[in-house]
Amino acid sequence: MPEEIPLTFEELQEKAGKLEVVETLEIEKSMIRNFAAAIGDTNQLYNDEEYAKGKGYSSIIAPPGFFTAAVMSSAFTRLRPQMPLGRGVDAGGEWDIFLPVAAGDTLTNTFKFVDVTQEQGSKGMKTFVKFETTHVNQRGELVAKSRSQLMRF
Amino acid sequence: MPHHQVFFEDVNEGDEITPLKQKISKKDLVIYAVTASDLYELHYDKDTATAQGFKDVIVHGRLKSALLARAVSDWMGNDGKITKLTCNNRGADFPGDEFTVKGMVTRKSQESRGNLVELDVWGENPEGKKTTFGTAVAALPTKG
Repeated sequence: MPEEIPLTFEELQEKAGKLEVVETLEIEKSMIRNFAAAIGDTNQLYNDEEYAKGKGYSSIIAPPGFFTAAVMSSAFTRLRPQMPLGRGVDAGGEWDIFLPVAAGDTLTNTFKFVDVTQEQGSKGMKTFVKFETTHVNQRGELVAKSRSQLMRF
Repeated sequence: MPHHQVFFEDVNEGDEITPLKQKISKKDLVIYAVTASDLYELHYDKDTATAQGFKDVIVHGRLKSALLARAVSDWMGNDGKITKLTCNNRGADFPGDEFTVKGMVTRKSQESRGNLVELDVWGENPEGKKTTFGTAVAALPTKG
């Protein structure tokens, strides 16, 4: 496979606001339990269906940290095939969580490349590539949204 | 696993949350990679990590953000809800090390969205260096 040629700042500016990927994601119990296991979280809300139902949920729910997982809100991972970026690091993100997500829900996740900016750093020009995501459940309710950025150097 | 509950009335600005200490194993990183769909080799292939100048594979930044959220959830109990989370990674953490999450309440407010507390939360490596910075907003129940 030929090595990808990163887009220039001008090429990124041209694509900003125009690139988006929409994915459907079925939330399964095993997904929630594995996620909880990876972060060592034994909370019954994420592991015990009867307990979660007793708290008013339809099934076990996803931990709040699940919203930060790449499958949910790494627009970069999802958009990467359409926008070669070269070397970069995660430069932070923020997540608004409006409603719980339970096993059995089907989410429509939208990943967008929204903006690109440049600033002079001590070791050269830094480029910040900004992404937004939204997550809507099968009832049409917005359950969460995120903004995050990647720094290219 | 929280069986306790923190109520809005119990909390004061400046309160510290119960620290969360979590030793993250390589196995945790593999489970996380698959479940979160974050398959970048830097997190499970040592050759990739050493080629980039790291001594070993590094913990996913987003896994650490999930641990910041977990520390807040563990502290407040299951009737509290995190409504906002921010996270910024400033340093690498390695499997086998104990990652400690600490936090402090910075603001309390009663709003139409609920009885909210804002917190600064951060993660420290075994040397006590802060590698991960975040904030959280949580809605807490009231006693009334």
